[in-house]
Amino acid sequence: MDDDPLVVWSLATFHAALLVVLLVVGLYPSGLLGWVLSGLDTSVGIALYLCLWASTWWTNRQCLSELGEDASLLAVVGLGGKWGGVNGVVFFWVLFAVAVAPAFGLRAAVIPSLLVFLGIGTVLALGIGGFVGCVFAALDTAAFRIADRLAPAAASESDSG
Amino acid sequence: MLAIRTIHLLAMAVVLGGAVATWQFCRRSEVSAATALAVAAGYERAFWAAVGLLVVTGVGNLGSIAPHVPIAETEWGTVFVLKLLALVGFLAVSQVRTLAVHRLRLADSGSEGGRRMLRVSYGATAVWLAAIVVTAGVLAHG
Repeated sequence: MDDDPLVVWSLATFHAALLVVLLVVGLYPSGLLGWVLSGLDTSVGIALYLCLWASTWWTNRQCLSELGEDASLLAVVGLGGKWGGVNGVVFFWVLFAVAVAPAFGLRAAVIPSLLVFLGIGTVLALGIGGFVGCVFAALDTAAFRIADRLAPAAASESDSG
Repeated sequence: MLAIRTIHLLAMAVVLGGAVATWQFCRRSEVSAATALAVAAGYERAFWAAVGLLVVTGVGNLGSIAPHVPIAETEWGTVFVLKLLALVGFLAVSQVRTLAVHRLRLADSGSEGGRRMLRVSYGATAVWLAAIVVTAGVLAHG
């Protein structure tokens, strides 16, 4: 694995896009999808997605540069969990700043409640992001291994074909 | 909503049109394998940018019919779930394809075998995308 710009770009988009599609897949059968989408302003939704995309790109780049060329599955999953947790926290803080805090307003009476919400949400985001990061790291490792088998095999084929 | 739909269509044009163009480019015998690999790497950069936009504008399109999204037990719901599953598979396979292109670049592999892999990959990408477009058409027009 390496932090080539194409690799970082593709992995970041893959993670952000797959996460959103899997959320839609998970919410749709329960009938919650329409309810969630109707409560989300289009411009806010797009801004949150762009933020997730950007933070996922940044955390992927940090993870891959920290990882180096050769790494065991355990090291990849461990670092994936660490940077996934960071990504979860960054995204939650943006979500909090864009959607939660403005809804309540910054009045003195609600600030203690907002801080408690921020603290609990940060811990949850760290855990959920870490878990998602571990899963994506395992998926990425599988994708790298398949690509490693496909590309050299194709490159070593005879030029006659 | 018009802007969202326009971006969605343009992004699909980049992804599908680019896959067909890259496949066609990789088939041409007068094009060297190294050039085909460079074109493929360029397509991969544009592909992932367009895929990111496709997903966010796709959700935006869905939001325009919320909260009246048809339930899963309807024919629309079945096609919608099929489209989502096809998309999940497409994303995973596309990631492998991009990493394979990257590996070929690292190996500086302008071989015919590498070019054959690119040709098959982009042909399959175009066919898979066409199937997704068909499901999108069914969802939009019945």
